[in-house]
Amino acid sequence: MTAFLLRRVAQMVVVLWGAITLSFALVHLVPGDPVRIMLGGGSGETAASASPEQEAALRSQLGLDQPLLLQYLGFLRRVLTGDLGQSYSTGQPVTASIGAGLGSTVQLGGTAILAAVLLGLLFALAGVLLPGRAVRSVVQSVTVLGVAVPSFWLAVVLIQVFSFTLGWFPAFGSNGVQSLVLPALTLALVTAGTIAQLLTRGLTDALGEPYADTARSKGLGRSRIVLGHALRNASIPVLTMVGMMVGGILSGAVIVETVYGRPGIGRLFVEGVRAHDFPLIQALIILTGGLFVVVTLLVDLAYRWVDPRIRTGVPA
Amino acid sequence: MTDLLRVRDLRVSYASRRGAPVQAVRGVDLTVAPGEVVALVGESGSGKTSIGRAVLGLHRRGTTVTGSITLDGRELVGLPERRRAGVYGTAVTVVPQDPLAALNPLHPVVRQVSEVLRVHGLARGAAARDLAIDALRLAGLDDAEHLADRLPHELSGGQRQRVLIAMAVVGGPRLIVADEPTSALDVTVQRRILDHLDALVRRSGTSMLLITHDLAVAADRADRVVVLADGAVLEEGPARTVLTAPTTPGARALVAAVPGPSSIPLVAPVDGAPLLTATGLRHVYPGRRGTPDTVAVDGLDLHLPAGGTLGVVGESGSGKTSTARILLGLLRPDAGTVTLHGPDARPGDRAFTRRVQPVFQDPYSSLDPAHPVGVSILEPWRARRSGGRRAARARLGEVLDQVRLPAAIAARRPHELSGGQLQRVAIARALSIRPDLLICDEPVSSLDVTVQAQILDLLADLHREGLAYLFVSHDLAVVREICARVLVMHRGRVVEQGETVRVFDAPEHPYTRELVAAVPGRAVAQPSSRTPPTTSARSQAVEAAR
Amino acid sequence: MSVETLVRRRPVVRWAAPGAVASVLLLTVVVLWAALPGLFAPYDPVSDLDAAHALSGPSTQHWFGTDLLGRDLYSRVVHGARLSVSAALIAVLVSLVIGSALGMLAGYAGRGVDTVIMRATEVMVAIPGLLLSLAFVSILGFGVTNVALAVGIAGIPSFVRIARAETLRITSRPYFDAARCAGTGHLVTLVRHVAPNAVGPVLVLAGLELGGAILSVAALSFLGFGAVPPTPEWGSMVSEGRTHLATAWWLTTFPGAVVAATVLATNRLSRGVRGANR
Repeated sequence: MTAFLLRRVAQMVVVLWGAITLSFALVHLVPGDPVRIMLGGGSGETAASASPEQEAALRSQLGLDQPLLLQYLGFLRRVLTGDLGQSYSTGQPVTASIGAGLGSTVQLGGTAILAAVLLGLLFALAGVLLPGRAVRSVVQSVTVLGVAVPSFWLAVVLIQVFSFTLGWFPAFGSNGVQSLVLPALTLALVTAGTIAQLLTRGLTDALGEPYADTARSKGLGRSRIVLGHALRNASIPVLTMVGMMVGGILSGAVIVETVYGRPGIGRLFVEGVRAHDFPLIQALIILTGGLFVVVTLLVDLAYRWVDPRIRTGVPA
Repeated sequence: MTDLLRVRDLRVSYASRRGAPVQAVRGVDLTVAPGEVVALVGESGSGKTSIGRAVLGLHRRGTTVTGSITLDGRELVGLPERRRAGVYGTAVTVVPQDPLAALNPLHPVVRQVSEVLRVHGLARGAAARDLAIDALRLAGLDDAEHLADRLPHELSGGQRQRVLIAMAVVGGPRLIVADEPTSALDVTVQRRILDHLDALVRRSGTSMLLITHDLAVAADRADRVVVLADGAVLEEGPARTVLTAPTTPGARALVAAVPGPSSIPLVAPVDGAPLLTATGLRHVYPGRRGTPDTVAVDGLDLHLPAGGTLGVVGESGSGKTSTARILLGLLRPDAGTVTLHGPDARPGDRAFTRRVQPVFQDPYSSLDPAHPVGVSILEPWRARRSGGRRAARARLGEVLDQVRLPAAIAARRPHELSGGQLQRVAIARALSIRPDLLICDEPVSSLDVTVQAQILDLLADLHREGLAYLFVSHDLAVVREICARVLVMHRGRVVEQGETVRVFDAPEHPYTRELVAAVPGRAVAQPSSRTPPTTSARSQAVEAAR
Repeated sequence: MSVETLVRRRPVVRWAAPGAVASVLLLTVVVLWAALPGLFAPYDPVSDLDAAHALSGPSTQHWFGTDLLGRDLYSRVVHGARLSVSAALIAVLVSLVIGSALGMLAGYAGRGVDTVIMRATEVMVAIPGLLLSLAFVSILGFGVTNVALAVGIAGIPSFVRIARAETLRITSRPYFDAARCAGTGHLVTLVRHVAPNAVGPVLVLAGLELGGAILSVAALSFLGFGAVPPTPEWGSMVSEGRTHLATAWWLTTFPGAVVAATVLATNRLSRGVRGANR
């Protein structure tokens, strides 16, 4: 167990280092000159308004006048000490901006994931357990919708129906639980579609396995086979996708926070991109990379609980 | 005595993707008396498994079952879902084919056994667990208390099969359907398990429907044998009668194709110049995190004369396949040398592959599905640019002729051919550059016995034309037929070697003795009447029956 | 061992299903829209201003209604297909070419090369797709082409993974060993045996990724990084319609529904092909 944890932590460090390097490389991959892009604002053309002095000042502020390797080492050192630089657009340390938005995004994402898991489970089980093949296939096709519907459009439609037509929930802002419902639902519906599809496939596959035949030969009914044997086996592929789903939720937060006008790191990211605020973008890339790595570790631990084969160290 | 199981005019068909449904079973009648063991034998596609599944009420979407299956007068065809629990798990149980896949990988084995009791309300809680452990012990699982809480993958293949047997007997069934119960196991394990299952059903008076492709197993274990072909009963009767004196041509061909445990070899030893020598071969698979290293091959010496035939036998994990891969240059040994003599070459050299070619086990995956088989056959030839298009075409015709396939087959894709045809194609590919030596890794193990017989005859004929081969197999009877010398491997080492007949008839090493004794088919072994004088005669009998 | 494979998985018949037929029809229409928008759109998407019917709902004259300037929404959706679909195609092409080349290399070369490529892939996977695309847009600059490239780059990892997995699967098959024994060289083996057998699953993934790419391109345009108004593009049309959400539901509903239907159809067909291949 300790060896496993150590190995995983080592992998985490490598991926995190990769994310830091990628965020560093991003700024230096810029086809043009990052300073000019930042000063030019808009679309990356040459800065018309900035004077050479301004340029030079920004260049040295960002350390862009040093040799690349030195810049990289400096960047690594600063990241490791928690100094992610200052936002170019607000002038504040980026950690402060991120800190202000993180809570709201975590609240939104957490609610969404919880709802998505419940909905996904419900639809998957309904899709294999309800009587009647036609009913089951209707349920299964509904889940396909979840993956195809654009989240920005779903957000808009939900606002139209639940805020403007029915007036049940506020359309914008972040005041209390009421305003959390629609954004969380938007995110949850999209993710629930993925979960339901994976789980349905897993359940169908498991029901075709010889051990399901064994269970039938023991005299077990369909629901008992599904709940007692297939579900746990089917949830393994879903678990492997949880890291991706958290990523999907963060991607979705970019859209949802923008549409519903909620503060959070998703909206911060969009604003950063719009303003070519590279320090902010870099910091958010490192943050999301770190978040992914932590989630993956937690999933690995959950995995060992769901799939006892892992615990005993024998390859399955 | 009234029959326990009575099958009348059973028909099973499967919806196919296009066109008419596939008829797997076409009107089969069958009975099993109380306490009787009936074997259903046949080759792939004969319908034996479909019958077993119909008796067990396991149908997938698109399956149509008609006719009647009664257990003690109770109709099982069309049994409503809610009535299943009254029959399956208690009155009728199964010992399935693949012991690993048939167990839920995530549940401890004792829970899977006690589930039968819990589902049917026979026992619950600690009592169910105790009964399950008793059943595991009864099924021959030593140290049942200790192993009960293990997961399936933590047990050996034989132990898993015992868990499945425990599951089948724990509910006190009237009928056990055993579907190829030991096909996935090594022969020594197979024997112990079948002995045990036999004893269990005989003692309790349980009936058993034993489904198997292995006529020798049927002969040893069954009271009555039902031979199936193309979904219909070919012949049935007492095991000894059917398997020693079959009356229908189809059954006769099937029986003739089975290599007996004491048949006469088709090939004779040769004393040629040395062709292949291996000394001190050793290969270790490094253990993955925490697991110890596996020594696959441990100091192996091997010698094969030009034009000779050498069998390498052993059970799974004995290192025989690793040896074959080392000899082919596909696996680099950690120590030892392989030398091909005159002119000397080593695995990996171009001169080596020119003269040594492989034939693998699974014919379906040993040919690239992306190309017509003609392209695959000529691949070794092309890799050496041994001539122009015209020469290639001529060579293709020659080798196809040599393996007795029509020339037109070259344009077909692998999925259009049968397993036997594909294995001939694989042999043709190996022959295309006129090698001196074929290294065959279980080349007939995934083929039906009649097809197997044809491939063995082909190899024996090629040997007569001067080709040497090294034949890796788990099947002692096959090796006995077509290898003049044999080498017995156990845990990476050679425990015994010598002339095949001597080694199998008078084994010296205790392991060889155990291995030879485990070969099924002793019950009806009658070499003189079973092995036709010439190979072609046997092939003709097989052909005639098709 | 001869075992009857009675339980061999039989692909469910998907082609004949009505859903598949509808998907083919729908995609045909969308592709025709993209190729020949003038043929299907009754009005010019930018310059035909029907001021009398500005911001009016769906009617026989304007199927999808009109926007604030009185432009015909249906014509804008038809013309929008060109940008949206071609951007998505470019994106998938970028991921497919780079991703499968790297994946095959990783799977075939093994050892160090494999480790480096797969670690780099892991890093890319660690960053949510849309965020990665956004980050690339921020350095490449705004506009539909850059959005397509950014989405394409973010889609590379899944192709690396599948191409690597397929390569590993194929190199463990006996026919690969036979090719080695036949004396066929590495490059020829890669071209003759690995590539043709890996192409099926890779193309199925490409189909599935196309749906994802349409969504991502539309999302980035919705956020304002893609097409610049008045150029019609599905994502930016939904964004434009947002300001009139309370009064003109059709402005957001129709473009969004077209995106959803298109993605649904591509996913459906890709899964159908996968089912048939299995």
